[in-house]
Amino acid sequence: MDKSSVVLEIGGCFTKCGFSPESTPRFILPTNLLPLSISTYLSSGTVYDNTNNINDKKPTLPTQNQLKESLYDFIHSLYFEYLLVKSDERKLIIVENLYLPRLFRQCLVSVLFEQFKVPLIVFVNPLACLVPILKNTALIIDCGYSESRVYPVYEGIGVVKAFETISLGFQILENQLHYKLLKDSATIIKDNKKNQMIIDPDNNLALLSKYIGDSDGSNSDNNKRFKETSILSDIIVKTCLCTINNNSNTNTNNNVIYKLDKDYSIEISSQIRNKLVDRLYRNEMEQENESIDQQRVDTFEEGNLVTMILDSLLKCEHDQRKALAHNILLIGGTTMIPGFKRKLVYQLTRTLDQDDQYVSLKPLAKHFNFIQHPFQANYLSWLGGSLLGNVLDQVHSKISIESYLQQRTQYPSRAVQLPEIENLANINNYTQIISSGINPLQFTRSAQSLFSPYTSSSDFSAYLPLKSSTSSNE
Amino acid sequence: MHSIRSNNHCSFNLYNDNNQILKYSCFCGKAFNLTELYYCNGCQQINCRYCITEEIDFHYCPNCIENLNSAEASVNGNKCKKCFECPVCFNTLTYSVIGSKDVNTVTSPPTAGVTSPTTTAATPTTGETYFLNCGFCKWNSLDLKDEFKFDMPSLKAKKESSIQQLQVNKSIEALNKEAAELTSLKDKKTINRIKLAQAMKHFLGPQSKHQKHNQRKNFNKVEDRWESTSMAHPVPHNHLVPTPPPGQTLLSEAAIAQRVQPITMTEADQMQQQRIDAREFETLDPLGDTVKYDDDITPFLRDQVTECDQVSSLDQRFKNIAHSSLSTSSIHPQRKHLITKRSKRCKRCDKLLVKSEISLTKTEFKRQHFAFTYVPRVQITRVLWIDNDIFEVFLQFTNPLHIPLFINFPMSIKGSFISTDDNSQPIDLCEHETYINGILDETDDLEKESIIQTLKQNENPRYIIDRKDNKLTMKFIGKVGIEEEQIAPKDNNNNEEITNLTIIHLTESLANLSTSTEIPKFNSQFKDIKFTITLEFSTSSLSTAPSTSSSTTTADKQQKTLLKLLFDIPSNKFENTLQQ
Repeated sequence: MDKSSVVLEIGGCFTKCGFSPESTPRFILPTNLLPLSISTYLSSGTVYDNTNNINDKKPTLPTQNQLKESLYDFIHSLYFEYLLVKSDERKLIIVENLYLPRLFRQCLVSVLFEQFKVPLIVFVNPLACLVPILKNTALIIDCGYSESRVYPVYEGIGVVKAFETISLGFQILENQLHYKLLKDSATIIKDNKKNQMIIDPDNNLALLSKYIGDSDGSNSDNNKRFKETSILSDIIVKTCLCTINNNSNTNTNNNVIYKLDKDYSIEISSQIRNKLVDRLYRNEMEQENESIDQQRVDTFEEGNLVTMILDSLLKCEHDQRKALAHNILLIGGTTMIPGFKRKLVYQLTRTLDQDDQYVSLKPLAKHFNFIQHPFQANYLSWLGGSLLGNVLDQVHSKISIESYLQQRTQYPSRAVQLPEIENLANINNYTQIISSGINPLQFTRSAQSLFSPYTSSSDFSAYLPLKSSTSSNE
Repeated sequence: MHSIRSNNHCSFNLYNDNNQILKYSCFCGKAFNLTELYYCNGCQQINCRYCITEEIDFHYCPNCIENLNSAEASVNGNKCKKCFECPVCFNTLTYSVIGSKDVNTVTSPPTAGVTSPTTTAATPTTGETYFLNCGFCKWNSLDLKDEFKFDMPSLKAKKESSIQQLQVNKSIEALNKEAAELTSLKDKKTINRIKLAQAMKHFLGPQSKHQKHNQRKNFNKVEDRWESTSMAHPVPHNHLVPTPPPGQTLLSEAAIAQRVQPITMTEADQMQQQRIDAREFETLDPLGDTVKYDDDITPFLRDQVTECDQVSSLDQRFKNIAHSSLSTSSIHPQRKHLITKRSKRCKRCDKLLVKSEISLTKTEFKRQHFAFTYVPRVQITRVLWIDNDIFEVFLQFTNPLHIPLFINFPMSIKGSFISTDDNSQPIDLCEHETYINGILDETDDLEKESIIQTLKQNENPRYIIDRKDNKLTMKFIGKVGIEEEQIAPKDNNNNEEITNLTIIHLTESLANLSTSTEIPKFNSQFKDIKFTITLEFSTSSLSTAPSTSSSTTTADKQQKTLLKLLFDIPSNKFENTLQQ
């Protein structure tokens, strides 16, 4: 009897790990790749230091050695402090972002095989989140830490041309909160011992920046910044709400006291509590209006969460749109801010009303609905990986330690070929499939398989090497 | 190979600047503080934490020190059977008895052998029930009432019946069927047939004879398994397809006998319309007050929260992922997570480096090969400039062993004398082999004794400053800047060339500057002076004939260990740096 596999999803901010086929991950812990801080790199492959000045914003890509050392430490702590199992006994299922940088994958695999002797690594893409809820049509909206993505999946087939990403996520909210707290002199600090408010703007600023870092964050190392952002994210998690701009709601005063430590507290105003999440729905007008000071700490994305979703729907076929709109699936921790669903529908409807660009989508206005499921959004794709662990034979994107080492010894200087999501030619038992007379592409398409919605897209036939296309013609 | 200064890993080294100054290079080239390294007896080399393999010996609870083997631990989900963690502050909870007037606090958990509270809490016969109490944040389990029970089976049963678990079970079943099907379908033909059947599903009745029996079964399963969502439900009745009389199927003879009516234009239009209708989705009012979303803002969050501590933090939610709650008052305590004792092995020769005692009450190790207890410890006692860009370092070597250690500074080694980032290099150091006494200084070995005597006689007072107990103070002279030829080419790591160290003997007057009372001040080119000293050490003499200076070739290769010391001295630590 095989031991249950380990399922791992390394996210930009939190890593989920546990055992297949359990219904919840055992642990959700911060992705701690210190001394590197590469959450942006993990989602989109570029690194921009958001806190620094625009002028010296330079992409700092981690080197292979840095990555390997950080990953070694991180995976070591996963196996020996959290999961407490022997790494060489259990297969590993990695739920990975579709756009994960190649270098990172190579390093991850090399560390896992060479240092931890994992017998088999299976790659599962985040679209596996459809597995636990047994749907094959969904508009998956993944709001992560540094990036948000939309993946429409129709009848088990990913609509690749309509995949959209935008660099909006929890990190933006943190930056925004940081900015608001420091720049708005209205932030009130309370002395816990004397139980009184301190009203002294200059002193306040210095005090506050001690806890959440100063405006440019230049003189704080990664370790310290890690702590500062964790305070910011804690404030957002505990206080922020997605409220809709109804006049009745804005008047209610629901200020909250946040305790920084035993000496000081700050008051989070209802303005921040209710309005912070609006940052994700900011339109271009607001972006132009804001001060240069604030633009400095901002990333420059075009559009917002809603335009990303609508753009994606525009790129889908007409027949697919309504079905997708009826089956919105939210994944990612950012979507767990209370009231997110109502806010999203509200903003979608409003944009459809106001923006002429989306006039062809207007009939969808009353058709936005969410898939109901009993799980939490932050670990849904992990759960998909966990369930797929039960039927590993059917998942083709995997690599075993034997084939890895064989490649390694044959071509020591060449990067090892990993199973790529867009390239089925690399699957291990490819020859076996060919000999059995089934073309892998057709195989997945005909059987309406959910094992890889992405690969079953017909859009990818062009990427397949000639060999496979000729063999399918025979 | 170039050695690299790596960041220390242990937290006590991390924030102490003095522990960054001197690093010992591992065989693999990464240099750490001495306390983070191991020394393998088998291959006589230093191991850093990347050069060891670890394995878990056993699991234990950090609170009640109960020993569990890995099978037991995995059954319990790597959690302790008795100990609970506070859901708010993660402190260990204590058991208290309800009922007795003065709340009798029992240290958690009661010693093994005595009836454990886990059982007493479940059995009402004793008349006493326990509750959990946090000594730090004053949280207690009384507020949770009956929702929470102590014993393991009840928690387990609860989990299995939760909605999540039911849905997961359903999904697993569907997946297994799908997988079985995919493996059983051998040829393309069958797949095509099933595909056709799926396409025709609206026209063929469930009893159609066009399919073989087993395929029909398969097909029906596929039907049920997927919640088809792109189609509206139920699929509207198509009146062009005759309804079979009850008890008969569509393609039975009686049904065929009824005959299909010829299609008229209007009927064709209707058919078109129905096809459109079939795609019609119910309109929703997603923003209406009647629609409820599961993440809607509750009045609790909107109005009642006045302090942030009333809302649970991410850490608190992640402790109990399945039943997390937004409010701090309704989160449940979790069982304490186990920790492990691990043994460590050398990656090169698989010899045990660290092995702890099985008994948890013992804190010492069965086997401990920390570099700290095997490798000569080095301390910088004094560092000063003696001329522009020429500096003098006084190093104190401490022998941690009971027997004398012999050390030597090789003049040529495989690889490089220079480490990455180095901006200086030693130029004048002791070329002769020397020794450091052991702690006890009682050598029975006459041969060694005689070698030590000869070494002592040949000793050059210019380099050997002081000798006391198991300590030896030596002097080195280094200069800022690196000679190009000393740098081994970086790209050919595999076949390392032999590099040589050039020694420049400085004049006596310059070398003796440190003894003079008045020391002139000098500028420092760099903020940090980084250089590397390479030495060999062994418990037996490195050369049988100590008089020959280059001892590397004649010495017993099995026995000696090459050690690189990587210095990174901030210029303000020098005695006479000119402050700018």
